[in-house]
Amino acid sequence: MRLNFVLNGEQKTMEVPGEKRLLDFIREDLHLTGTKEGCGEGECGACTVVLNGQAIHSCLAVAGQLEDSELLTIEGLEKNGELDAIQKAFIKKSAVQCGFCTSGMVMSAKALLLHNPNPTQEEIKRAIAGNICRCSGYREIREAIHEAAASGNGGAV
Amino acid sequence: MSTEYLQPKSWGELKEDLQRLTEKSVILAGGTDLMPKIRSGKKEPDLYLSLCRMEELKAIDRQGEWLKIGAMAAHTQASEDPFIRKYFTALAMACSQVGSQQIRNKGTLGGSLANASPAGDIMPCIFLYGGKIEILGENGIRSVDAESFLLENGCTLLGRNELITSILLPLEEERKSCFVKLGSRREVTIAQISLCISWKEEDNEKKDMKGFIGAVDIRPVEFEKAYLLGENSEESREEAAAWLADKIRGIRSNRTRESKLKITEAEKLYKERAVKGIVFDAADWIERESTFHTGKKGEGKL
Repeated sequence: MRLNFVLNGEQKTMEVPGEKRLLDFIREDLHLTGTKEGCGEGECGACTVVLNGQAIHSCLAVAGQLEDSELLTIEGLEKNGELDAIQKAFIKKSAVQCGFCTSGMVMSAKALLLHNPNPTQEEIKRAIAGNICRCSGYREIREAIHEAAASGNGGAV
Repeated sequence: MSTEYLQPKSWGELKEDLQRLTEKSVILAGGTDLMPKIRSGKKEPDLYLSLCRMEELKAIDRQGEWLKIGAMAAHTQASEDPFIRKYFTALAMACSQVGSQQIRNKGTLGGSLANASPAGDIMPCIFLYGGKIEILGENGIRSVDAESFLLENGCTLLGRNELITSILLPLEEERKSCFVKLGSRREVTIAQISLCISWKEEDNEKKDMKGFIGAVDIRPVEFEKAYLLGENSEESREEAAAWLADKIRGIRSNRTRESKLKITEAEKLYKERAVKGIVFDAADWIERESTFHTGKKGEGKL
């Protein structure tokens, strides 16, 4: 099918089998490999992207669902060579260890701050409850999201 | 094998596409249950009918004395809807506790009902409110009671060329409700037991209490002694818990099929023992409810 969609702020038209997993479409056709595959069944959150302003698992979506939609992947956060406030805060707070969960974690945080620029600790916890990190633990990650929110720029598109 | 992908945008297209489904075809709503089945090879669809562009199926509207919830309304959308939060609080609570944020953003109420998992959180709420389910088929739309939609064997009565279009809930402005569940962890958890209760407040008393318990049998089970939770005493809570424990024990002893899960002898007794906890949680909520107001997003547990 012919797909019209916005990828990281840029209008795209592409031919794609509608039933192709969104995750595979992102990695294989769009060549954006920042989005990771962890469990492949919606448990780990590594493949999280933001579709129409909401965090979703790209492993549970199909490419056809992109039609007339806006997709934001981890690659779309950097603007004019400058990292997003969430990415900066992850670095500052050492919220990354092996890094495999990081892009999904950052995208969940992005979706949260888009809707709620001043989340409570409880709201941060809930927003990333579906993102599993098996090495660093969650404290630094929560602190980083809190810091990004406090900077006032985490919710900027 | 070639696979077809259909994504209708109008009723006309949807009706036509529906007639093309074969035994191997799938209807894609949110995909949160379906996609892992396809990935693992349990399903090999010849055709996908994706409902994601059917905007009409996403609407939540009041229609006279009914609330009509489109089958494609996502759990996040339902849990944030002011009308559902106010008049169907148990459903809003259930939706806000399903899976993770990503699952709630994508998974739909219609998909949950069509999937009919015994551990699903939505079906018990629809039973609680005496809801109806609208189904689109070859001869147009028909409406069935939720209790007859889910057959005794746990399957739905959906035919191959049929799909759920909406859920209808009867509006009783004075009715209040709540939902509690027990899972193996606090967040992103599948119910081991869920309990939803509704009641009316009259002269500072709780009347006409109803209840359904989920995840203990293949269908939601009616909690016939729900009225005990309106009495606000330790004895009545204990009695309610004991009644439910007996009920669950009965279901376990009458079960003839083997459990799909590998569970130990001790684990088999877990639900009948743990049910007391959620009975007390529900009773606490009911007691507190008089001070609960549908607040802004993210407030409290809801």
